[in-house]
Amino acid sequence: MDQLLRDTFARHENLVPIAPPGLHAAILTGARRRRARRRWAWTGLFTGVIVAVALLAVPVAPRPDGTRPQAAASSAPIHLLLVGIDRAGDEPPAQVRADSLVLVHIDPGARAAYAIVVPPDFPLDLPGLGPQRADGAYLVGGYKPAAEAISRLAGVRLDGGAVVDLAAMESITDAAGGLDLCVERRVQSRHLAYDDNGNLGEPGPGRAPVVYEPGCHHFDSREAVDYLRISAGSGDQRAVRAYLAALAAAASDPARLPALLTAAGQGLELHLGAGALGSLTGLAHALRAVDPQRVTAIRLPTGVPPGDGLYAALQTGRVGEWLAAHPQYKV
Amino acid sequence: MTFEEFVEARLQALLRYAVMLAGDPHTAQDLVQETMIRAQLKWRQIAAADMPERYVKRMLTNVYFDLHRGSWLRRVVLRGVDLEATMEPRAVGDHADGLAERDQMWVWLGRLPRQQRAALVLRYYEGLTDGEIAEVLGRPVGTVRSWISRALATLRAQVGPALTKGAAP
Repeated sequence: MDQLLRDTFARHENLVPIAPPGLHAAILTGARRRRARRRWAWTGLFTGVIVAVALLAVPVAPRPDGTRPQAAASSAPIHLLLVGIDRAGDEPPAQVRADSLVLVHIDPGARAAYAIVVPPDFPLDLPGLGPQRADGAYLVGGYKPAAEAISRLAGVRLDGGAVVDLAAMESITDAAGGLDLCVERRVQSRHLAYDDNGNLGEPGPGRAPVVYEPGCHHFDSREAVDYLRISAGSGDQRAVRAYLAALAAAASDPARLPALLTAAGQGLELHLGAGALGSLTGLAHALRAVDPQRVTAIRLPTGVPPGDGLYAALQTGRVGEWLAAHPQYKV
Repeated sequence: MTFEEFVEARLQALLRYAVMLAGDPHTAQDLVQETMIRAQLKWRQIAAADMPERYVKRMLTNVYFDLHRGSWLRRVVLRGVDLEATMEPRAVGDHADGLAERDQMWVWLGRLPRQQRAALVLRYYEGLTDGEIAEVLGRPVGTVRSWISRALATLRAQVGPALTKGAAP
């Protein structure tokens, strides 16, 4: 039988095609496309986390004087800029690329929010620094020039913004007491490993990488964010949704919520102006009107004419109508 | 080793392995393409591994295991048309040359569960030891041995009657 099998395999070597030249090209194109898709996945992740945290903050966060915030009086649109960075631990901000820039447009009248995603290679004219790729804008100048460039591009005033990194997500998850997540496929971590004493740390020689086995488990914050990072990296949106659902479930526990809010306030690098939006509570207050079901992601139009009418819609608060007429930009 | 160098040197070998797994050149080519796309995205990690080729082989095997659930299969089905135009004649021609009888074995191999077939390919085509097979498949050696023995039992049950039938007339 052994020989029979060896012969059978050897006989079928004639089925093996000569690698066609197109295959090599197809591999390179495929890899490029997939990289672009991973960026979209990341963007969605950051947007989801910050919107979720802000929304969750609303019902219980009392003001310092003990009263609960009132609903926004004005129905003028609100604009926020979110910068998501794939930075782990304490790397200095100067070393990281912004993986995503998202302009959030909130329409209090329609109870809707639109997350306008800036493509990574979109040229942004940074004041004083010249044109830069969008994903390098944060690296080059930090939050401020990027915010100014976006503000000028769209012709809107930004009411505030935030920088979200992995550390922020970890501290939020930590405050939630870890999360219960269900794994569909076995994944091995690239970022976390156990040493001989069973402590979590960076991978290295003699350390066993963390493996996420299929099934539902309790994840501590580092594992949860790591698992999420791997899943989002491979374009798996289900894990992202599961993470957000678990985070929402944790936040519905009144005992955990205060810690969660504090962590969100400390972990996020907030850039908020004075006035009603001057704090996370204020931001949450502003987002109060938004129905979580009505958060839509939009790709920034990059063709001609610039913005394809989106900028005017942002200025006049008619993004809903614009999107209905331009459904091709829906992510 | 750069990714380019790896592709240059090992693409043909990977295609051979993929044909043995999948049983036909079209699926094999798609397996290799999908694997190499994934490999390029994590190339730094693969290049740092002890044996990059074994790492990639493991990835290819996983892509093969996932054939029925992966979303990439849809793309394969859509692309099937142009591939057939370029590759079918050669495959069919070779098949038709009176090999049909002996290649009953190939058909039986194709009916085995994927994991069992992969274990057989690694042992009898790639010539790996059980320990190495376990490494590529990411399973314990015991599991691998039981897959192989089950596969052999299945094949023996089919070869036995066929041989007697062939000898009778």
